[in-house]
Amino acid sequence: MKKDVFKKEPRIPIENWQKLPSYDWFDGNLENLESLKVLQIHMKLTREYELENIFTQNKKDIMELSKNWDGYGAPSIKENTLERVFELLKQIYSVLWEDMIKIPIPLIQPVPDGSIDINWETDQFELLINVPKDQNLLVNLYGEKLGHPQDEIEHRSHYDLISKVIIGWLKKIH
Amino acid sequence: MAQENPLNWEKEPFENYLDEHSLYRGIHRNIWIKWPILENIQPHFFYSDNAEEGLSMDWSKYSTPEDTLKRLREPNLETNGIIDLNVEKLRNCIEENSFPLIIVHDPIKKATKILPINRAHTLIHGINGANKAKIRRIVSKIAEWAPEMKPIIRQSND
Repeated sequence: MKKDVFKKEPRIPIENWQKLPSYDWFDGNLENLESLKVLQIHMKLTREYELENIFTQNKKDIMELSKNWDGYGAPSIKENTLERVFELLKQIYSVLWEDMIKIPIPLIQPVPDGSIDINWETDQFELLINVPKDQNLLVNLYGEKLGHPQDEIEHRSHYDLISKVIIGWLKKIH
Repeated sequence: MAQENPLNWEKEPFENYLDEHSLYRGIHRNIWIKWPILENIQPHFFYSDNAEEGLSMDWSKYSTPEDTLKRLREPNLETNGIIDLNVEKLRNCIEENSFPLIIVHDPIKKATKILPINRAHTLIHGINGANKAKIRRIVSKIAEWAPEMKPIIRQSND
């Protein structure tokens, strides 16, 4: 039988309404909605600050690596490569935070060919993104949601297009 | 016993790499020093600037992990640890994922400025910019530190 979508559900008497635990903060007062917005902005700023701190520390460590830093002739990492990594992460997190999706900060690891790995290893998923030293080379990534082989991703595309792919995948598996 | 002449060393076929054998590679402190857990081998160990021409490893038929360490410029565990890739696990990993990896015996018969003579020297071919994320992620999962060759982290007083 076709469901009548316009049919009203019977009302629950107000005395039987239940408080939902996650909405305990909201008592019908609009001021609380403003507080929530302020809280959201505050959290975003805090996270941006944390991200900047992590970038600063990583930059210091990685820029200190001199030529042959792996003992097999690895070139130094270019600052520009690192900046592209940070920019990519900022793009990803700004969208995820806006959508209230919390994902830990990944490891940022120098690779002996002058590229940089962005590496997430969490209980839920693993994602490895390799940002090449040359802007013209393609970004290569591989990810899997643990226990869900159908959600595996292997992708290669230009730097300017990659954030969309990553954000889409992270949202999908979240 | 007369010493063998390296010029007589022959390249051996892949069939000679037995399941119980290992491939060793020295990993510099700059790679592992920031790892959150030292036992959790990270994917960036499995690459080099010239990896597309072949990634150098040492075959356990002709090398111990100690030999591999000794061949490095800084042969101490504070600077280098030795990774062990078991041949059976690597072979399975290649087959299961259809990785285009080829293991080639490449003995170094004459020392160069960089490399000493080395009968164990082996190259892994087939890793490139297009596949390196997946290959490195999966190979890092079968890699472990060779026995007694886990690096030593000295606590800095700074």
